[in-house]
Amino acid sequence: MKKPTNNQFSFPVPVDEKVIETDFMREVMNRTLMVHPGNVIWYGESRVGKTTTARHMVQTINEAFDPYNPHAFRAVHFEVGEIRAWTGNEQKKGLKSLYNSALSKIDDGLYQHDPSETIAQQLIFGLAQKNIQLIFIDEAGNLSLDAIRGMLMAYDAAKNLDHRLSLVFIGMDDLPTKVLKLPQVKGRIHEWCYFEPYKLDGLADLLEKLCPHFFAADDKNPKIAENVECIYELCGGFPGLVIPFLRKLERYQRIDPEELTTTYLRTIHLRTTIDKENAINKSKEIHKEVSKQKK
Amino acid sequence: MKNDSLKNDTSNIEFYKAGRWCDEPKKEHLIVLQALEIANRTFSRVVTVAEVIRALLPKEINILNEKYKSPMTIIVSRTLLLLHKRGKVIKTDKVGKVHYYGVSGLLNLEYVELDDFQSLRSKTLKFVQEAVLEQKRALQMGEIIDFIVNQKGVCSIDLKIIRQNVLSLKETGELIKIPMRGNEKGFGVYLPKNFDPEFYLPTQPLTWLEFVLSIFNEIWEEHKLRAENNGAKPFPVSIGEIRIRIAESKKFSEKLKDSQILISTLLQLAKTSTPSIRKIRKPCQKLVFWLPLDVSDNEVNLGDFYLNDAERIEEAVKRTSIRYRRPVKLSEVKEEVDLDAYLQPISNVSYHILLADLARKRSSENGIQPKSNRKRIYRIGKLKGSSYYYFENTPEVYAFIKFQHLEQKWNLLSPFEELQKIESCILPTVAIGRAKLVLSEVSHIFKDLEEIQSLNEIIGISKDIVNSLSKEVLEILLQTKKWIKKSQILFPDLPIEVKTKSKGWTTHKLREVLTPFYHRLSKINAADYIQSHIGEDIKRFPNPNFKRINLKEPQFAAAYLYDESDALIYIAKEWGGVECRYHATVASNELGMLRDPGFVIPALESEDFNQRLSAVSCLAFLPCEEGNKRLLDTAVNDLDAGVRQSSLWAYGLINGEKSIPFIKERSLQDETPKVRKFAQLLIENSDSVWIKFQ
Repeated sequence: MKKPTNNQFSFPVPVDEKVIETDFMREVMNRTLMVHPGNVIWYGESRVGKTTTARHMVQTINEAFDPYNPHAFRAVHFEVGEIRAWTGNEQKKGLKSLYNSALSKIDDGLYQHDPSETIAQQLIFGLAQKNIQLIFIDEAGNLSLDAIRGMLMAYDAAKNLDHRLSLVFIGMDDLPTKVLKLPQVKGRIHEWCYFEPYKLDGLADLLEKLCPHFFAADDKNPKIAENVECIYELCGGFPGLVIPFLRKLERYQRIDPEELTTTYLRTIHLRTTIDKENAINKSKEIHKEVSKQKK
Repeated sequence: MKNDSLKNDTSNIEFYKAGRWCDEPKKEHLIVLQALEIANRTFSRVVTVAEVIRALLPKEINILNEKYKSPMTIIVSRTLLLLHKRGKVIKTDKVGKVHYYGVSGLLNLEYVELDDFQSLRSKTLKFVQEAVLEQKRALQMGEIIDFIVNQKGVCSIDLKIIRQNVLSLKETGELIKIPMRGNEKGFGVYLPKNFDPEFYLPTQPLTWLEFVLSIFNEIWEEHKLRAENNGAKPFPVSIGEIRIRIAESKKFSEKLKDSQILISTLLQLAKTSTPSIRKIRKPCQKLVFWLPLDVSDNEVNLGDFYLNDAERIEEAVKRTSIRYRRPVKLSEVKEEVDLDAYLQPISNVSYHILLADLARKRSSENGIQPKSNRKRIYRIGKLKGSSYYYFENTPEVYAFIKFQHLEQKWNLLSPFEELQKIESCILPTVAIGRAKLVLSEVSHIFKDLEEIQSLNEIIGISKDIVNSLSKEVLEILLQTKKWIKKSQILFPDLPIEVKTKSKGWTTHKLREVLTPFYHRLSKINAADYIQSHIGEDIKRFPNPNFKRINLKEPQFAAAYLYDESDALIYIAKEWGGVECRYHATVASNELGMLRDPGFVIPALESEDFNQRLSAVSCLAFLPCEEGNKRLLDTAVNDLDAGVRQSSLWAYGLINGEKSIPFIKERSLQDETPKVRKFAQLLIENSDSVWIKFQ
């Protein structure tokens, strides 16, 4: 099995990103729309598929938008940065984050001199102009409780200004427990969706749809089941880990096609793991040296 | 690592006939064998026991731990040994502290490359040999360390270890130490034993002290020679002369940054157990000069070196210019004078007047030429409020000031940041317009830089710096051109050149527009208020029609004009309502300093509603005939209700009361109730919904 070398350089062939809409994803999308206008929390471990589901939903909604349909609307997805607690003006910062991501860069004068409710009003005005009614706020675990409250102020302002708006907070960390701390925030969350990793069956199904040339179900070929199980062992049921692994697999196969065995799959996986461990150990070594020198 | 190291996979390996193993291989052995194969394939070479362990899965580790009660390293190494005896695994001899293993039939041992285990000590000797051959002389410890550290691949070696290795090599005789000063324990240089010391002994001064002494001796010889030619006694050496000579030599230039260093060095040379020089003072003066140790006071001339203050200042300018290697300003000349007793002016005339006088070319009076019309120094130009002088008058000298001005202009332009902002524009046509604006300004700078580069030499700046800036400018120029060419493919009908002229308001006009919002302006001095309160919020540009400040007509008396669009945006943000502020924010983010509507109007045809909406916001603040017509059309025909609504607003902003009939029509005929309602609102509140600029 050849490692890719400089002598055999080739650019990775871009593959159209294929989102497989699973039953679970469909269910989550429907449950989110059912409470519109209303706020939702999507929670689950990292790499489990929350962001992919959100982006897929945004794409579906925007593609289906029809200016002549009075019920149609647009959606936006963005990843929010950290707004730490006790840093001051967190509500404003939350609103600013929404404004910049959904509309455009907020005017500094507006942000510095005007109160939060004016910013919220300005934001809703802009959203109404663009007919944006659904906003996905990803990595919401980075937000402080006050920042979330600030964003929910936009939801309240939308109600007052007769504009339908739903906010979907996507995240991990302590997002659910944080939200429950304040009744004003807890009371404004209308739906909760929990993302779990796929089980072996679900993963087999996903692999069959993603890479039918490698993993199409075949009772006569026990190796396929072994390989699926091997991938489940290496990547868990996390699509976010499985897909990059499959990309690597495709690339190796393109350079030097070989029969898929568990040894082969484990070798691909080990190359990354070894280098990762070496990098971590080296950085710990250097960091130790630097601390010793400082002392 | 050559790929031929891997022969084939292990799927067809036959099991060796050896009792139990032959029929039923143990599960634990198969686990270790598979992990070894995975490790061999991962690293493409033979591997250590530790690397095999890393290839094991957690459940496999549990299986092995349950079977054997030993540490994992022992389990794996014993299993590998067993497999080696049975011919399944190949094992290398010890390399360093470990053996390496590979699956039989998978690897070709002859292609295996292992780490280089050559000792650090032998590497150090090899480096010393290379360094001596490169420098063609014996080296000091510091020079050896610098050489080794700069070699590729050895950046992680501890300096202490290198030092220890060198000393150790000296002890064993592989390196010899040649003392340069003092005894064996004093300062010396190192040479490999097989190199001839006579050939490799350094001849030039190695240390700072030796260098200063050699310079002093050089200057003293020159003084003696001059004195012999004039039949007079030699002058003692001043510290200024030594300083200037060191600066000219371009060696140890970092030592000149602190003036005290040279003074301390001379004192050290005078005070050691074997001094080389001594101090001397002029009678009734505190200033110090220097003489060789064996020269008495009677053998030197302690009188004045220069005829008058003009000569002193001229010499000071010359020396300062040589020291700094560029035109110099008054404070730098003063510094030079303070460092050398000979240069102290005798009169009470200020340096400023002395310099100005020296730099002024005297004009003839009544046709009679002045006696001395020789310009002694030249005023090269002004930078940040200070005049710069030099003792020569060549284009290369003037290029110094010109370059500084260009550099300042380049920094203010911040083209890289501007290009980054352009990337985030919603409207691609506006992005192209802004890029063309940047291109036009960058081109002017590049042209000026090319003129400077065409000179053979540039005083005060190394050609490298000029070339580096020119390279940076060229890079941005080419990058911008490339980006424009690539982006313009989709928009072939855009204007070729961007209009850089924009409409401007005088302070008078701005005051007229602002007064309805801020009534106090009518009573206070508007110019002062505007400058102090608005500051940089409304950009200004030089008035092309400016004649003189005190003229009655403001359009000819204003040196600068306020950008009209910027002013409108400022007013909208400051005093406008929700809609006004929203559109003003979008316009200011999108347009930057672009004022050519030719790059905005095409965006009204875009399929993306976001772009059409942004284009409407921009046109609201770039009033023009064509834009007006297009807004009218968009307000009627656009598919998106939000865009039609915004167009109505923008049309109203530009046209004020004249827009009311059209808005009335839309309040009845638009297909969306929301837009009809908005139009109605506009009519009912026409005084306050938007700001009138008419």
